[in-house]
Amino acid sequence: MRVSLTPGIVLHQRAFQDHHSIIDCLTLEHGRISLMARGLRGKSSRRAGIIQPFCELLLSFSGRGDLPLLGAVEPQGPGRPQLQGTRLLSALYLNELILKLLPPLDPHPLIYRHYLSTVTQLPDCHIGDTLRLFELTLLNEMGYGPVLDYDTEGEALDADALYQIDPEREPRRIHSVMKQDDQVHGATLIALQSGAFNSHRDRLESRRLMGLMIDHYLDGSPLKTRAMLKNFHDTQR
Amino acid sequence: MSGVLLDDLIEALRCLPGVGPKSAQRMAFHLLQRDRRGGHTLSAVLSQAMDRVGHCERCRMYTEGALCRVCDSSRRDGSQICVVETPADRSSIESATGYQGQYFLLLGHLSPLDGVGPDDLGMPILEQRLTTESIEEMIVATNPTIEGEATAHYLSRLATRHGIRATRIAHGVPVGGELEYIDRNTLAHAFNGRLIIDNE
Ligand SMILES: [Zn+2]
Repeated sequence: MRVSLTPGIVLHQRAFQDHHSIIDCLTLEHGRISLMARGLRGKSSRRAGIIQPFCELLLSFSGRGDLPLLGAVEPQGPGRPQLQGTRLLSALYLNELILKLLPPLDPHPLIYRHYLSTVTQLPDCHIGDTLRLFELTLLNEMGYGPVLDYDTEGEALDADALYQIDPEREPRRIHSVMKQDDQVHGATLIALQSGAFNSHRDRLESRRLMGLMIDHYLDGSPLKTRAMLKNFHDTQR
Repeated sequence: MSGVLLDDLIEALRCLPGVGPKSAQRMAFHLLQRDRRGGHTLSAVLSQAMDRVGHCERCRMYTEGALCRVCDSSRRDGSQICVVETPADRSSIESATGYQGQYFLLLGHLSPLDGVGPDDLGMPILEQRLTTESIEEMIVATNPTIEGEATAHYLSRLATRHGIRATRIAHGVPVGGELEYIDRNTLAHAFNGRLIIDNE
């Protein structure tokens, strides 16, 4: 495999031996891929300032096997957005979602573009809403998205009704008032579908619903950035 | 262990960073041919250091005593604490600046994707110090990497919660560097961290 200057984004960088790094990337045309970046660390590296996460680069790589070698890299578009605190952790959360959910070498141009627009908005947006829409796009594109326009009976959703969520089925309308973690209002499903969250309840329930869906497909693997976001909130108090 | 001491020595030397089979062989031959005394000293000191060097109780620097040289000194300023990622970072600051305050070593940085959290970085020990000592300023000297920034933010919240002023070391254009040759991320960082020019 020899690829020249293809659009890609660095998701994560791990040290390898003294001066090398393994970078996990999301590329437009080749999907998620891990690359060996020789000599990326240490004071002689001129590329460390360019090979940064959260921004689009043009990446070249070559070689067979699991770990192609990173070649020429060029910046593309604006540089790394200025992210701090919760917004920085939220961006890392997006990266963790992709690393854990998206299989390697499976190109999804729509996820790629949505990721890029999401991190670009992150310095200045409603964090929760933006994350929900990314989670939804990611799951939809992978074919795991929740059904948001009709229930198990094929009926249109009623904003005031309660629905029981099963990650692999349509929402099931329930008539009890019993509150459980896997129950949400029709209004929440409609809000997610339209991408417009109108109330605190929409947001709270959307977060719970998407969390439930993601956990189902992660199959027990914990999201470390989610735990740390919670930790940050607790430290703030 | 191969049973052949020379091979064992070469293999053992390879635990050093950047030392491959070729350089390990060169080192072993050098010690055996030209510098047996140096070899003896190295082996004695290495063995003692591996047995006795632990972490300073207050700042987590390597030391064989309960406290490191800085923490044990009565001449250091107790109102400032500088938080760094590694012992090498502390040594760099110590030799390059005239800093006279206290230190704290994280021995790493927050890295959620690698599963490194606050407890792995000795944050409880640091928090204890912020509570009990009369610290007024926390100088956050973590690296300008994503993980270093996340760590810096965590530290600044910790400091604020204890009524302590948090400051961040400036990052950007290297002294003697030219803007034209600096990568855009570094330049953007420097631009955002600009300072008012003092006209005095
Ligand atoms: Zn100490």
